[in-house]
Amino acid sequence: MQIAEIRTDKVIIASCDGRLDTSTAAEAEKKLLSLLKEGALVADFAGVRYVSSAGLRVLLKTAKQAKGVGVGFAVCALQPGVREVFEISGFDKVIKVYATRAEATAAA
Amino acid sequence: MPEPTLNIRLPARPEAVGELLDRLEGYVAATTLPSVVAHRLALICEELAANVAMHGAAAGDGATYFEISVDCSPAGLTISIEDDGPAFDPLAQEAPDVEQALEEREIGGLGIHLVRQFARRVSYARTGNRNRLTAALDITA
Repeated sequence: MQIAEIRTDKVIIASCDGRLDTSTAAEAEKKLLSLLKEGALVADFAGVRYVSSAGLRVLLKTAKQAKGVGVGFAVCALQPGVREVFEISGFDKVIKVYATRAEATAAA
Repeated sequence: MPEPTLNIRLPARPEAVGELLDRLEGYVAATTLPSVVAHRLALICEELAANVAMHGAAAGDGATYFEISVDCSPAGLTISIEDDGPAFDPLAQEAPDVEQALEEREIGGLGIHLVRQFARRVSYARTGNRNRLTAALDITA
């Protein structure tokens, strides 16, 4: 899992690439939580081909932390297999999900 | 054309999941499975393997290995995972409430919930000193 940071005037985009799974979750969590300290965060998942429950756990923790400190957190550009996991777990109801990075940034 | 069969035996540790997923990606690349089905297959394998790796590990009496086999036929995918850990039926655990709000969401049981949702059928058996879970998955998205 690679995470590239892109800073815009409104939000930080965490451009994620790879798999968010049991073996990559801890490092991704550390990175996302650290970026969240700087302000509103959008995790762009266009390059994420796989998310398991270990990955969902990371996103839940990030979303809870964001809410706790009062900054925005959203995820965008889910691939079809990943979107399905979000829907079946009910995560699309507790985490803001946008179709594109532009929409996520505009809503931040 | 018959789809290939896959057999993977790995140490029952969370770090093994990366290799498991690499091997599964190689496997599905040689099949005609739709990408959404490939995602479901990888997720079922990871959740079941992670379960084996975590369960009993803290007490020091966990499994030493897990062995996953995937068989693909026109009727569907059959996934089975076997381990030598203490008897444990993950299907007997309570299902999470997926309707809860953010603050109340707990993560326990989510992996098995996803397995149950994706699989057409899941069953557990304890044979000798081995746990064996078998899941059936449709090959169409």
